[in-house]
Amino acid sequence: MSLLRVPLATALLLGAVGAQANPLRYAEDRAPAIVHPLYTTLMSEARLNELVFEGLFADDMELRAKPLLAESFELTPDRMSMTVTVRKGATWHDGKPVTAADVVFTIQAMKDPSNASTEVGRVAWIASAEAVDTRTVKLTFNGEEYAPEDKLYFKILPAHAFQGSSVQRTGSFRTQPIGSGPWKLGSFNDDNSITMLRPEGGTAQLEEVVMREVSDKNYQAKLLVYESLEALVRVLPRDLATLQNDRKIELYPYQTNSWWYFGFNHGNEGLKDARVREALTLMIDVPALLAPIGTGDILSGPYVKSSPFYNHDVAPSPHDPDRAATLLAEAGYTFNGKLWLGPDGKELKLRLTTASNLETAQDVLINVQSQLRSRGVSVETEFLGDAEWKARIWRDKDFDVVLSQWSFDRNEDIYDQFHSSGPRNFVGYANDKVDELLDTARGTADPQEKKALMRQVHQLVHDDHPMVFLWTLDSYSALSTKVKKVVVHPFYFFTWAEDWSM
Amino acid sequence: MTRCLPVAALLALGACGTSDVPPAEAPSAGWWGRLATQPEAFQDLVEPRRDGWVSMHRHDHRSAFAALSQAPEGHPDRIGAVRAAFAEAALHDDLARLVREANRLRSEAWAARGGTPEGAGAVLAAWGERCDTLPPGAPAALEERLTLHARVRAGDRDAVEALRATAKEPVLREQADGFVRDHVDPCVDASLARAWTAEGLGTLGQPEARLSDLITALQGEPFAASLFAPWPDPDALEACEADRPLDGASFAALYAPPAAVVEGLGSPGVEEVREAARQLLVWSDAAREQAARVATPDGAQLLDGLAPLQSYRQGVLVGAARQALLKDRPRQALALLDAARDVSDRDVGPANSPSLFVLLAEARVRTGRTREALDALEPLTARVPTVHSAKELVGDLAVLQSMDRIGDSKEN
Repeated sequence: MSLLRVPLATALLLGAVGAQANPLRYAEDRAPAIVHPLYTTLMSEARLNELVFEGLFADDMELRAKPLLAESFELTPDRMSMTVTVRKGATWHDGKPVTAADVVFTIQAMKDPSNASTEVGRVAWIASAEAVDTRTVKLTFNGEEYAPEDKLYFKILPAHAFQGSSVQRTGSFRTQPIGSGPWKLGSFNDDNSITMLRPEGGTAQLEEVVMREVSDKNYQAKLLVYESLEALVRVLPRDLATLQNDRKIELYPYQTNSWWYFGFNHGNEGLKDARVREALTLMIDVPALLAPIGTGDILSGPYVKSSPFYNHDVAPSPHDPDRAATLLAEAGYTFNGKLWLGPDGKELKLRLTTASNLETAQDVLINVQSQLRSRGVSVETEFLGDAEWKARIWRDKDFDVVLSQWSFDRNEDIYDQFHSSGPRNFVGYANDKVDELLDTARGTADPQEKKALMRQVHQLVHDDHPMVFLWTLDSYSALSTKVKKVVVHPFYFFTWAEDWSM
Repeated sequence: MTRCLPVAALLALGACGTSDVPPAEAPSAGWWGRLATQPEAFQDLVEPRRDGWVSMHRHDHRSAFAALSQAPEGHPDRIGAVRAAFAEAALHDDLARLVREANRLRSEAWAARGGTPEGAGAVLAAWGERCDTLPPGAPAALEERLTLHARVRAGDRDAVEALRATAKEPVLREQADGFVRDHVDPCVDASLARAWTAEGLGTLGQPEARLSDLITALQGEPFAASLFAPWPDPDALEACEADRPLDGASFAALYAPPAAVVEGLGSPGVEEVREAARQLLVWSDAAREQAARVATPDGAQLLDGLAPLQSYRQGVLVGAARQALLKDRPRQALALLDAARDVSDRDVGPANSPSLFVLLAEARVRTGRTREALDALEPLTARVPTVHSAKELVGDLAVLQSMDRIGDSKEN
């Protein structure tokens, strides 16, 4: 049952009845479909992983790598390999010790193509991993590494949980995960909430954390104001002023370098033609789409405006229906006075797809449907649940145009989205020059060269129109002032939640 | 009533004065109270050069100075012009400190990865450490630039405009291996801070003035000296360190929080300053209600339209954050600045001063949140073109600090 359909009074009551000893209750727009670090595609999943799992290293408060499941490490003089010692006394939530074999298992599972891990890119730099003894792992690299600990943030899985079964996205681990983090998964509840409990002997200040799916953003703000939640991960821009004026609530910046886009499926015959993609781009009045959902920056490429990689010489695509008509005509389309017809005589028809539980995305989709229809493009909309989204969009590439949002950590590495081999490039974009620039950028140690390369990528990607780049919204999280010692990680949010108290 | 706190408390606070005006007793004690009860005094003050005071309210100190400095000697607007000049000096002083820190950290991080490329980049990085004489081996173009800087520091207004106009351009451009390397000028803000200090001193008519001289001048024109300021009235500034030379930095140390929050703002812990910021919010809510109760109809409109208590509160928090940074407490500064920011307005303007964004960027750089520092600098782009140097240097640092990471990205 979704809270979307629950009257506020009932929701408040549920909050009260369900309350245990001072749980921290936070709201997500979308509940994680799975709790499995190998198949994490959503921010809500990444945040939940942060509560339940640990990596060998994590950010300290100054965002430097600090050992977490690791105790120590040693890099060889040639920088081609390292040994990592697993922290003595580290245990899984089922009481078994965390071992070197778990680290090796995790890396191999991520690299194994048959597992189709969405996180494969995070271990591509590791050539091999072997357990030297129960607590020591030797990692060998594909090239020289200066600070390999900076790359060892991915979450470690318990090998014993997969004995006798293969690693699969649909496996039982996704609902019965075993981690080593500050909280263990307690229960998936009927109202789509997830309860996490501090394990026996755990050091987290908060005994219980509850994730509640509240897809209606209006409810999220109200639930926080009426103290049925302690935290909102993302505040809708239009609610910022209200929440700022509530003296029991504090706002924290949580930008996550996020941007919205319409992505064109390059496997779709009609959308392979860049002129068609550009024409559709020019038909869309982006400021008119943004206005109802809040304030933000309209973008011309795959970075937010504050990024060191943003190319400020590239202007956002204008709203220019006349130019769009010219481009479609050049591409062999004809306008019959009502609709555009393709070279094959069939109407230009698109499916616009977005996630079913993102209220703001639904508003945008309906508005763009109206805009495109008024320009002679036949448009259907569809709204997918998370599981269907992962299957249809990520796996089967069964879509015409998707509306979604990417969030990036501070690297703002768009390789996965725009390199032809990128694991997140489900739109199927390919440009040899972009591939070359992205490859070169990964290899350089010169920040100015990297900036120059990425600004070129910005220009090229803009010109190719694989997506309609939309906007970045002002993004804040909100927490009750009851929650003390709050420091929010700029991407994973909960990295330092172990210190939070109420 | 105003008083000077004991020396120990002042040292802990780091501010240069305080006031213990409980709103319940004296709602009209601050400049906001005068807005409420004597709106005609406000009209009298701002009417001759309204644009100047509107700019002051918008934290646009360059425009404010341009308008208010047109007033004849002895006119209260001259005090406004002095304040505007030193506020602009303080802004560039804050930016210069950020640029210096980013330049230093960038050099260290780059050295750790094999060293900065030789040539102009190394020369500029070395120059940026102190912004005085150029190191040996500087290209001729930099010698010309140094001459321009010297003119700026001497207060040459044409040179100031020339430097500002080229702030977004690279000071040098080199063809590197496969790309063009742009170098920014790391000393623009340091020189502009000096230039605006010279403007302020000149307008005050005391080229060798100390902080005490400014306070005395402010006390001579109490309303012009305090309207939109982070002190209730200039009597609250009869405090410490008055013998400091008057410049952007010493001016920026002038702010006067209510006694109710002094201890919290001066404490060493993060949670304590966060709580003090909350207390200040409670105090300003109460003060606003008190002012509204005694306001005339016109005064009530001014309270609604100008949001004076929000402005005062932010000024106090920004001042306290600056002191926290100077005392090497960047996490405290971060908490204060997050509390100070009005998130309902994303740009520099009446609700958010440019200094807030600059200090936020510095606090973030100094707590490892280098990429997020760029978010703080972005709103300054339109208003403060010299922020370009800071953005590029902080951007280089952000790239260097994430060079060894594998990026993570997720949907939504």
